[in-house]
Amino acid sequence: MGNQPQQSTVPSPSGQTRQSAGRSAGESIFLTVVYAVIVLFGVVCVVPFWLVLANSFATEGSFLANGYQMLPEAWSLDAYSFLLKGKQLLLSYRNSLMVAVAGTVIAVTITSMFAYVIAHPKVKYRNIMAFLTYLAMVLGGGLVGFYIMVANWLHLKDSLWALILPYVLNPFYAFILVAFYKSLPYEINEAATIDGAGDMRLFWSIIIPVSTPVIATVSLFYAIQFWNDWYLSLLFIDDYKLHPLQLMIRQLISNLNMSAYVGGGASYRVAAPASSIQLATVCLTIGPIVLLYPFLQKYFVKGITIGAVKG
Amino acid sequence: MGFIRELTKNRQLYALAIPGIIFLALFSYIPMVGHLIAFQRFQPVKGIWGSDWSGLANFEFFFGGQDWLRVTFNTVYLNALFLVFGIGAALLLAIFINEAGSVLLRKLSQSLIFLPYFISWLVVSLMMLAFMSSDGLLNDWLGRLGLEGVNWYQNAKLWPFILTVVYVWKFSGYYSIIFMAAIVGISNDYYESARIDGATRLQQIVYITIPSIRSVIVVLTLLGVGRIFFGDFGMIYGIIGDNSILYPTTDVIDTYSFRALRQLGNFGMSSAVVVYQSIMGLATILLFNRLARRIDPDSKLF
Amino acid sequence: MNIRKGMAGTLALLLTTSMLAACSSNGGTDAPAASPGSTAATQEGKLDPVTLKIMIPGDRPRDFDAVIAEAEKRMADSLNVKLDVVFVPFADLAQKTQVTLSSGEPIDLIFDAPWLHITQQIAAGSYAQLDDLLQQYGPNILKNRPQEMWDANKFDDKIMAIPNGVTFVQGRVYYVRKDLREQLGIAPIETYDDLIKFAYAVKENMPDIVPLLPSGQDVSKGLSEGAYRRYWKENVDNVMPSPVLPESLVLYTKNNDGKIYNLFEEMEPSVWSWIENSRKLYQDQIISQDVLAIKELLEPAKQGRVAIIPSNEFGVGTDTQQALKSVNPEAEFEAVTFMNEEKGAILTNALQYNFISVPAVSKNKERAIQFLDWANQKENYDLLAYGIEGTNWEAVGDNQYKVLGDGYAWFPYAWIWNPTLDRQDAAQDEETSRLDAWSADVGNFTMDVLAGFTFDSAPVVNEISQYVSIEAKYYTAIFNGVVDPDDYWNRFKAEAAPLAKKIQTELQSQIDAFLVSR
Repeated sequence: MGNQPQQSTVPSPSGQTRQSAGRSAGESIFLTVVYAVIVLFGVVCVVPFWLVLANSFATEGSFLANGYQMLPEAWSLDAYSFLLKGKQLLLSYRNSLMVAVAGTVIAVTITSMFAYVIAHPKVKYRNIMAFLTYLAMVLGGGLVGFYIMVANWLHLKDSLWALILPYVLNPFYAFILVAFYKSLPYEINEAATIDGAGDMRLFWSIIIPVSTPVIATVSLFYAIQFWNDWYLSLLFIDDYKLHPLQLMIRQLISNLNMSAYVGGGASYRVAAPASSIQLATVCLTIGPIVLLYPFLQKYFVKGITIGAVKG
Repeated sequence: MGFIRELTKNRQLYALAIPGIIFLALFSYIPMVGHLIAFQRFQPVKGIWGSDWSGLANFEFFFGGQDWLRVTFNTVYLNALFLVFGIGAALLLAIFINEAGSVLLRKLSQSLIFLPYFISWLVVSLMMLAFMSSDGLLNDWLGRLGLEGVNWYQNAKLWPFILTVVYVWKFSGYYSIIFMAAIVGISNDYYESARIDGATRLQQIVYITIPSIRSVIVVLTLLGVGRIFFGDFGMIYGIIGDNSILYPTTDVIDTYSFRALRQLGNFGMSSAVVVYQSIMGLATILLFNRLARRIDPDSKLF
Repeated sequence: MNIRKGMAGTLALLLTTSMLAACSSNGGTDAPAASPGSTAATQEGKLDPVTLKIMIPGDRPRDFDAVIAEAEKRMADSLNVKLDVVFVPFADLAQKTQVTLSSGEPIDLIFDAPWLHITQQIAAGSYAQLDDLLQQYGPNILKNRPQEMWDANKFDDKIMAIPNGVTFVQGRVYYVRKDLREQLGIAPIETYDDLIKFAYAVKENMPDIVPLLPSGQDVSKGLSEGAYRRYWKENVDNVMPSPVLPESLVLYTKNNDGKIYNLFEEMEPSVWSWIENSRKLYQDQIISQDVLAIKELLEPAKQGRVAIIPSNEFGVGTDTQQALKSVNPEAEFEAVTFMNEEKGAILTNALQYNFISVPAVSKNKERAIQFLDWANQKENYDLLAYGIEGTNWEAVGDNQYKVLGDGYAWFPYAWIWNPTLDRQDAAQDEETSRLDAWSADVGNFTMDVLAGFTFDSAPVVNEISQYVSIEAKYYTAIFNGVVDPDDYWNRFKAEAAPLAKKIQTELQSQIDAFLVSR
């Protein structure tokens, strides 16, 4: 650990019996608070989501009449059948999945390598590199320059690569990795050097396995980032067969709310169907990510091996 | 040459960084040339190199009025609230969930607190309206308690608070994952020896857990500070929309320039605002990184 | 062990990579490119194959492929055009079209509008001039729109875009809950005073219903209660927004005299009375207390929670009516209007809301116009506007139609809409049809002297953007009576008056030059 906790500041107990009785009472109050906070926050998170989920199955009439209900009065699949009609949803799902999978694999590989170099004390120019990485995040992007780069120079228009490559190095996630690498005990490096292993081999065979919790976290974030993005596809994908899910849904929803965007007071006949469609889209888009999370959760435990390495 | 020697000596390490450097150059640095249009009368037909230079004319619309100070303040103030309470809540959640004994509760709560992240701002704003309109649920509850209803959407003073609550609700689950991953990495030895010394759980948190993940906390804070001049347009515009009564406390740089330019659609002028935000951001991070270096050298970013 | 893991990772990466490559090349063959096969023979009357890329707003209708296939089939032996239609979400229309035009990407037809950025794009040289092309290739396009419409929709006396619209004034109505009105025993509403009496009766007797919900959104500030009054008979002076800020009454014209007036310099008594009336309505809780927070008026209307909302079209939208009935089968909206139907009473500048342009970078300008001309022939128009006959719609007589299913949404306004070929929805009631016909006949209106004038915003671009952002702080709040009008008007004036004055001066001098040149 980079930051040794200062054990001396932990007050040592005196008067063993009294203390332990007081402690267990204190402990149980503490635990009660812990559980209360978790449960409360959990409820606050679940209830709105449940409202979204449940009411996405409400009939239009029931939703309009009663608003958000824990259990809708009348159930229907109208919203989903509207969304599922036609091939576009399946196509879009496929595109989104491909981008998310390929993007996450590539991005995590590149970012974890890059972050390792920034975190490595042997690297003389690490601070300059770190600064330039951070700066890229602080300086807002120039839309026109970015567009010309991707569309005109790299010719990625109407290619799924346009949805992946611009996002493979997210400075934010790079720095999360840097912080973790920095907290690894330096002896790992030394042990390996004595072993005669090169830096690359050391990285792949020791550093990466030891960092599973953070790699899992960053993978999750990247997967979400690729999955949730509509902006790159808005800019670079004109071919609707390559539209990812988020753009498809954005298009649909903004068409329903068209009067909000059309200035000049024009209002044309838009066959606006269920309000519950807006809710149904949330449920449809969240699916794969919700499945991904429990899968990654198990890696959050394995990281305990860091301690083992150190010992 | 020290430069060449360094590169050859650590060639394996630098090789690991090459893909990252290429992508950074391609998608971040080279496109920044596009910011030149902030100083131009940009005409698409003439392109970036052919358009006429206009000095600082594109900045005038922003700095010429009286509102730029207020929206700059709002941006920084709201982002600071989000940062402090967002990270605070995430940290608290991560620690508490880690303390909870039951594995089931731990896993379940980890998943559940993550859900709000996926609810789009559009849906969030609809639910908020249903909840807080003058005849909404909240006023209904207040009424039942014998209290007078509040006109939430006409009371600008309340909104920094409301937005912070919404932000914490939506994002603290997301950020807490980072902290949980960090906490999991702390060696059990520390806790064991602390327990032998008779430290309470609270003491273990204060003296072991938090110091051990301090660098992660600092990094997240610094990363947030770097973006402090960029308002969350999706959130603010999604929730506040065009409700002018709430502008005094909620209008941020991004929503302001969106409104000012939505009729003109002028790239030069919108770039000028981004250049302003970038320069301010740069100044802030230089300052904060220096502070971080002084307080805790391990946590500085560069 | 670990090395093998690394290998597996690399493999996975390679796999997904090739998967992606395969897929995108797949997409490539389906997408524009050149259509194979037909390159060889150029028979008589058949032109070389060309794919036109067309960018319009909206959402791709489900049956669009079938419609396009049919269209391409019909054109195969003559125009030989393939269509690559890109739909852009309304929310991102401005950004997407702007960035596309800025990067010089080859697009052959693109949607634009005065509420989007048409004058800016024309000033920037993004669009090709169409006068000659239309003379040569667009006889049907020209014929389908009355001369008044062409004259009024030129830019600096040049046709830079084809107007797509059918009316000379927009329909303005209030949706009124007929069932509530009847429950309260109130006679059909004829005047604004009737409407307000009804609103007060609702307030008194139906505490759960919001009597009146105008728009509080900045983009639709024309629907603020105070500003909406200008559409009604009582506006005898024809107080209208100026051409520079098309929804705002702060700079305005009246009596069609070619002068720009400024509310900050001298308050127009009628406008002030509208504002004061709104204030009273708001304080009496007739106007919804959440008027500024509600983004979509139709939502609460469909929920049956409001008695009156304004709307920009004659008649009641069928989807709104249906949604309302699904909540409460008894409930029903009726549309009432107080527009002055006297011949010549209302001014029109005949400016249309939607246009389609040919970008300057297009390599297929002639073909683009030829295609639109083809689409301006009745049977082809019917195909593109309503879909496949028998599947998506059926004809009712010569100028009406009935929708079948929901496979093809209605969007001719994006590219081909015109008064000659437009069909009316057969489900519409008689009164609505009568009003639609009335608004489509230019003879019913007086032509605005400023028709055909376009404002060059470049000299006051800073003033406009500053003014707009200040106005957004006050306008809808004042015109819906949410705030004290005296106090807020003074604040608004203190901040915005110098800017408004500059814009007014520039506008007036451009108008004077325009009127002299006429």
